[in-house]
Amino acid sequence: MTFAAAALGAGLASLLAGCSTSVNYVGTSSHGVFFKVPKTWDVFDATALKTLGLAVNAAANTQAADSGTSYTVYTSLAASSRRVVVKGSLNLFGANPWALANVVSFGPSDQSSMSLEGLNDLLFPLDTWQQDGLSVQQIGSTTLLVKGALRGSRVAFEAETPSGVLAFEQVAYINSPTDKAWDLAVGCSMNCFLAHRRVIDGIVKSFTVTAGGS
Amino acid sequence: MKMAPVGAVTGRRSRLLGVVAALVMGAALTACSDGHVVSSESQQLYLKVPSNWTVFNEHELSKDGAFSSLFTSAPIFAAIAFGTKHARPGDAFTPTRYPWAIVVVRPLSAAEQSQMSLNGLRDVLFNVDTLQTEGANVNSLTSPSLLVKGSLHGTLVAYEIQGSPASSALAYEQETWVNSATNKVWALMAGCSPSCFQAQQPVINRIVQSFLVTDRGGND
Repeated sequence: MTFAAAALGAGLASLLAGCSTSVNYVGTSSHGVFFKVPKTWDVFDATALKTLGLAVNAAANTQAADSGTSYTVYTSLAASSRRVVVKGSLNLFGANPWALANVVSFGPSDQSSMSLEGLNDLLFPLDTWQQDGLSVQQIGSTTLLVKGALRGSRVAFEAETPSGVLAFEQVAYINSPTDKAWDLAVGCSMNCFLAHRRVIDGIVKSFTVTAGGS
Repeated sequence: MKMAPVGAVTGRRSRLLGVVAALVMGAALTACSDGHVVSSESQQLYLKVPSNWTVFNEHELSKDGAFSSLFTSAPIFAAIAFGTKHARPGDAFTPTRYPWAIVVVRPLSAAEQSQMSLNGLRDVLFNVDTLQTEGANVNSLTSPSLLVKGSLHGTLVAYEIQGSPASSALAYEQETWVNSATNKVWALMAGCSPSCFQAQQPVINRIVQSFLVTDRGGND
């Protein structure tokens, strides 16, 4: 009995130690989403997001909702180093991996036309870049994700953008009414992406949508 | 002590249950008497058409070449009903003077799966987009409705399609559901010529309203 209690105590302690030291949780319960990043990563607060122009703009969202266009209701950013910010701007093409998550509310037009393929363009306008003659290469195959009423995909890309080349893996879910999407992209330069593949994979795998999909 | 198998009943209790069962059976038959039930246990769908309609089931349709030729890929399930005794399965999708209702369950190809949208659901039986591109005049008879039931989502639409010649105009209502994995659709289309559609609107509405997909649509 004493031995069993001690074993249980040791197990619990190691579990708690595991929980408390290895990762930081990033997300929001109000929009039902979170993901895990290494404890060594920086998580950007609301002020930092505002400085980078990534903060949710309530006034603009009200206007978007009134005009029936889509808008972002939540954004979060974490990175392996503050050095992803260069001269006040986010550098997605460097040697420091970043993780950028969004929750988007769709207007009627996007709701009607959104497809699993369309989820690829949620964070970055891959289609537009391709139409502009920039190279967008898919890395590996697309994985279809189904979690109850949520459907989505996981896919990686190497994309030439007007500002540089980035590689990222993206996971995105959409709900049954097709009026809300949750997505996360984790990436950096191609060399960095390959070097940090395991960490990036872990972050993408941790992406969890707790919101009901119907 | 003697034990009866689970579910076994004896004596007075069995007679009482017999009476209850007869009453329940009577109620079910009454419900059936006001229409033909078209259903598939495996594809988890149900709908009801008027009792004076002619129903062609899966087996009959599989033997009809004209009907099979309407599909580019074989459906998992299909049934068709006509508001006349003199129709042939191949009359589906045509501007007849009597109404018809066709229910189809079919898989979506990998390309359809990745590109399917709520808008795209209207094209799963009858490619309205292509017809429009080819110059047909497509009028929406009602605003499309979004349908959500757990992991299933879908649309309810009604169109009048005016081709060339004008006598080929077709009007129909269509309810389509797709599962969360976006690899399977359940569609019901009911229609006929525009004048018939107008006259038969209450009947067509009742058929569409009876359409029920009981599949949960998700992976759980």
